[in-house]
Amino acid sequence: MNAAVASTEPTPFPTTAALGLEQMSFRALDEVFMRGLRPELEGLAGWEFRGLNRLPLNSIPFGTLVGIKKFVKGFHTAEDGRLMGYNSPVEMNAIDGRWRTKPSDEAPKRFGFYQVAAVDATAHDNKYLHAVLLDYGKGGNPRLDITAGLRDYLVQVDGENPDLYLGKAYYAFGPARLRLNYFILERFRRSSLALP
Amino acid sequence: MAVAYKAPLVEGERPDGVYTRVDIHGDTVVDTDVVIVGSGAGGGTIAAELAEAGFDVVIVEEGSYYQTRDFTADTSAMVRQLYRDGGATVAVGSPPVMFQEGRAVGGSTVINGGMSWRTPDKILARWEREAGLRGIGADLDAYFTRVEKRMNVAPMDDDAIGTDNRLLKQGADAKGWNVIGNLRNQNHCVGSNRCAFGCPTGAKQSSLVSYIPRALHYGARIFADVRVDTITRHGKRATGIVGRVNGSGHELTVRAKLVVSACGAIHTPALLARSGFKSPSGQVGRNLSMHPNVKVVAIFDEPVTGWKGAHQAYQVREFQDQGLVFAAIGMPPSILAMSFPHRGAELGRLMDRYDHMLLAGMLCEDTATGRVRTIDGKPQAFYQLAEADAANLQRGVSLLSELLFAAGAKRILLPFHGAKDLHSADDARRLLRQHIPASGMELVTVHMMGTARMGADRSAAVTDEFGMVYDADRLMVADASLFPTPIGVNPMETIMALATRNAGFVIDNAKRFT
Repeated sequence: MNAAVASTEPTPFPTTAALGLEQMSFRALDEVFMRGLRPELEGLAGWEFRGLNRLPLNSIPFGTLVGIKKFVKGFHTAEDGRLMGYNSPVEMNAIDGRWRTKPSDEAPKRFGFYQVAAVDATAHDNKYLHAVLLDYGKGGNPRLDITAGLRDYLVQVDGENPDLYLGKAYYAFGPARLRLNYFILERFRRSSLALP
Repeated sequence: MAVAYKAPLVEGERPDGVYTRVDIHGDTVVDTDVVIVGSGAGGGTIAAELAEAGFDVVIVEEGSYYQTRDFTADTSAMVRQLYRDGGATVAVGSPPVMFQEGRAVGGSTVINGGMSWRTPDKILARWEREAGLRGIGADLDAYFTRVEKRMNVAPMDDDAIGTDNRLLKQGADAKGWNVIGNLRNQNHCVGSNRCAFGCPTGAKQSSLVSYIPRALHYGARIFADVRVDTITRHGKRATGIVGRVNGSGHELTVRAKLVVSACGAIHTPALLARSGFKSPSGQVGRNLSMHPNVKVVAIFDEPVTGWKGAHQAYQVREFQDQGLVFAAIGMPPSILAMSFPHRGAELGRLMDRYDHMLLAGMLCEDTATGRVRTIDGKPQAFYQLAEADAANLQRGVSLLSELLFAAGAKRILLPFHGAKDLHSADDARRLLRQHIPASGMELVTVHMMGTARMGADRSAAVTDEFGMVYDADRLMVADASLFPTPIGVNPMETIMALATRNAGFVIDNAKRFT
């Protein structure tokens, strides 16, 4: 069983486990992802996570240049009971530096909204049944917003560590799905959108 | 198998809930909670457990429905009716391995010897270690106990033990080797030695007379004579099966909330493959273990009358840690004669000594694995005997021959192509120094395992520890396909215990399947 409860005090900096994942090859990450466990939704709700994109050609700092290497993902429970989520942009400092949301930590920008649910075996987006799906098509994004085509699958890397997750991103072109990249999420802080 | 249709043996009334080809007059659709493909050790067991727990259960069986009164001494008819391909299915390799599967309601439990052994502790420890099945050894204990009670696992009555088995024990005792009384699922077996052709007294507690009646009592339905073509699906969710009635070709559709594949280690991977269920591990159909067997024929001066007495009343376990188990086996003259290389008058003279023959065989816990490929929708097994296993079998034949000479055998016929008969224990020992090419070994088996192995790691296994297929929804496996490794003993009880455990998972998670 994977532990659903978050650790009490997330660290301010990424752990070596998270940074280690970021250094792995796609092939190695494929194996980690396949061995992953389905995250417990209640373990995500109310939290923000440090995000690190593991892009193709990792040695080229493309992600840093365009400002997508580091990010924050947040999860909160909507009034209708659905688990929803958002992204926040982050200052592109050192990979092991602090995560500082933009424009400020107090009032971060939020964009790229998504719905979070266990993967439905009967749905079109059912590639990994052991994952949860971050469905940006159901996040309420503007119709022409480029993020609306994202479909992220998320697994918990280690059953004993409820703070570390691995995501696999796809982009929807109609019925086709284009594989994009991996990303690593690590528990960061309480979300200000968390319900009391 | 047209002969079976021309002269069906089923007489009289069938129990409520049993439907055969004569009951299905057109394309038919059935709704249920759980559909189970196969009615043998896995299918019969999980059907009974789930039906008893209140699930609506449908069993679909390719073979026909026969009852105890249908099992006769007509070996040829029994083989045609109860065995797939008349018992002549072959795994391709050098040497090829001939294997047998039951094809009747009750599956292979109708034609097996009824040996009922728990999975050895060392195997369970290996499953924990290598497949990540934490705690499975302790967990299975209660399921073994339940299975043993349900099918009456017991030692043989002494008066049912025949001369062949007494000679085997005598030989083992003379060598000082560990020999044990066999535990079998029987209730006062009379020792007619017809286990492999349908027990004519009903003493053997096969699935046909134990779990199947229990399932029927709790409302399960059986559709016999129906070959399942495919598991239907909605996305990655299994939604039922579609099959065809043998003979008429009518279509049977069963819509279900859970599909259980229990059609054995050869047909389960083929069914998954032709239904489009792919394992993320790529292991469906791989890891085929077969416990390759060889037999020797020992000829004694005194009559052995091997047809009298229970099948495999004893097992010689002296070399179990080295992957070898010996037993005396019964084989009717018609089948035995086919296995000899002799022809004409020579064969006649040999068979004239049939009542002086003791047949003994051995099970080898194999180290090689083969594969079941699905070709044009049909399974084809491929298996290449490992050199180490071939050497172990050669050594086993030598040891078994020593034992039989110690029991008084005068001549032993070997299962090696072109090998000379043995006439003494010294001959048996010299056999170890001979080069016996593996390709010349006559291998048979009835133990196929491992082609949809369970494990904690979805990148290495096909199912989780409860048989739920990875990367599929509402699809379970409940047969010997699940074994992560060969087990070195007869697999029936292990299959039944795992099926019972899988049923427990369904019962505990009923909401997932409604």
